[in-house]
Amino acid sequence: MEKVVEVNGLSKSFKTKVKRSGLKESFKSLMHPVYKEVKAVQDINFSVEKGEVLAFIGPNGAGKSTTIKMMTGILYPSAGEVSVLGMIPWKSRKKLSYKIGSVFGQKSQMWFHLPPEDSFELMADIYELNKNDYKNRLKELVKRFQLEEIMHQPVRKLSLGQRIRCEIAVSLIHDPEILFLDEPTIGLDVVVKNQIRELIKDLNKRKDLTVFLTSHDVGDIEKLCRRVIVIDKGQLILHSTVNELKHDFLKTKILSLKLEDEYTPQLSGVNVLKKKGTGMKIEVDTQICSLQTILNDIIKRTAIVDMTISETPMEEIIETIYTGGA
Amino acid sequence: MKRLRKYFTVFKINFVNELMYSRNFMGQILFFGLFLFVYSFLWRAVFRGGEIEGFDFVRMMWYFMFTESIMLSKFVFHSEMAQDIKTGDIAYHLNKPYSYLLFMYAKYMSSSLIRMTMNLMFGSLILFITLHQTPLTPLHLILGIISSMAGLTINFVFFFLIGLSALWFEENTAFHFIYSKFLFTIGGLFIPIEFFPDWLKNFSSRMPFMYILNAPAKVYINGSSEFARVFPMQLFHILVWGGLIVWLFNRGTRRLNINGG
Repeated sequence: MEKVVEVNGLSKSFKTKVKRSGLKESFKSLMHPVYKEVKAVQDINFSVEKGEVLAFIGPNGAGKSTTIKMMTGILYPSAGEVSVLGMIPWKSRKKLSYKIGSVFGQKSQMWFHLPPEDSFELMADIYELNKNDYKNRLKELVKRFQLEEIMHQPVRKLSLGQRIRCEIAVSLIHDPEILFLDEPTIGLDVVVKNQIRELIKDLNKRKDLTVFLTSHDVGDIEKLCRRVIVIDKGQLILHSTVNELKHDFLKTKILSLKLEDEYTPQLSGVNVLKKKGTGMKIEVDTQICSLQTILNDIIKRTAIVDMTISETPMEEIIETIYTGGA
Repeated sequence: MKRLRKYFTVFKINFVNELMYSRNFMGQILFFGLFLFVYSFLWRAVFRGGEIEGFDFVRMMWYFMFTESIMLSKFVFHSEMAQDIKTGDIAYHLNKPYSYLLFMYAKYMSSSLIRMTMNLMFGSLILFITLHQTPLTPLHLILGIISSMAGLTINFVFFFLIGLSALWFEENTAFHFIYSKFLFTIGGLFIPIEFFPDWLKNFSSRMPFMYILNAPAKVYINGSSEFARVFPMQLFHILVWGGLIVWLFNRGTRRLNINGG
């Protein structure tokens, strides 16, 4: 597979002024400023294949934005190499910008008081598209993103979901090869979130569009990405497929039971989460106690009226990784 | 041409965007009218039918109307720019294929020109009605507009410089305060620099501030002879100070490392 992004030994550190509280310290700092070095990104390596949807996640302040800014040429790294579509981003920032698109969920690129049509027109000129290409592209995007009815309404009157649809569509006006999505579903309701995810999935399949996604929404990762990279404190702490992640971290199963008689498990690796009469919810660590063992134990003592088995939510897996429980 | 078309589109779209705030213009125009009214009393008392350095009451009122029209038309963007630098939001501009400087210039000129047109129309109307005299001719008007645009461009350079200072200084509002006071005084906003003592007149003519307000106002009044004298100087200041901001901005984008992470 063709690699469109290659990151090797990428590091970024910067100096920040240390400020202490109090008037005396402020004067001291004025005369003799003290700086400390912050390592925002430390020696990270990864690559992205053409047509891949990759999740790049991490807690706040982990170094995600810094990495994306270096990948798009906005920031210069302190060390390491980055190649995006065969270009060194900070050396060919403008040239690269014609081939990449970006959507920042919390920062709009639309003109707030004008209809989306005007922002599309501006972007078409910014990316130097000719009239015919622009018209064809616009027609296609309007149809795919179902923007017909909102193209002539001022952006300020659009719902958040409609606006995000416009944001993604406008970022695709120049037919980029890589799309950087930073929290694209932030603040959206479940229905709109799913719509946006379907649109991204569709674009990825039809156009072979590479998507580099950062999100705090586990649903985005589960539903869109094959591979996930976790970064924390500037370091890459996990790099695996979403399936491997589930397999490696899904050590526990949750059993919701309705029994005929009361039951108290005595087995190790079994933890009671909730109990009310003959109903209970237990967590089973399958590496210590197999499901068969616990079920046999229950059947030996009482009868099962109803039962559901569920996995640990992906959200908890991510939390475990962030908190170092891996 | 394609490379420049994007900035014309920014100009056009921002122009349309500005029209959405048309009610704000009304407030500004009323404020402008009040200024003209108050200063007409001051200057009538000062001149008492006489003349100072080639200015009589009528010419003085037109001068003041022109300087104030330019002063009130400047689109203030330096605080927004400083905020973009501090929060790192400037990054969203830098990952697009356009020059941030030209993007801001197109936006600034579009907003400023629409305001200046309104101010000039309103101010001229008021002065025509009240004074029944004008030094303005069609040629003066055309040259005056060109000189005003050059003046607004010099002002843009300084606003950009103030905005850019956020890369080095956390608090930069003082720079704008000092800058606006220069415009008030040696820029010739209220009093033409011709009224100053020689040493201050010489000093002012070496500074860029008089080419933002005083020079265009005198072009409106005196026409081509004034234009031939001041326009080359305006271009000189645009090139010198403009060159400085291009150099600083290029250095600054490296400095962005600190604020942009």
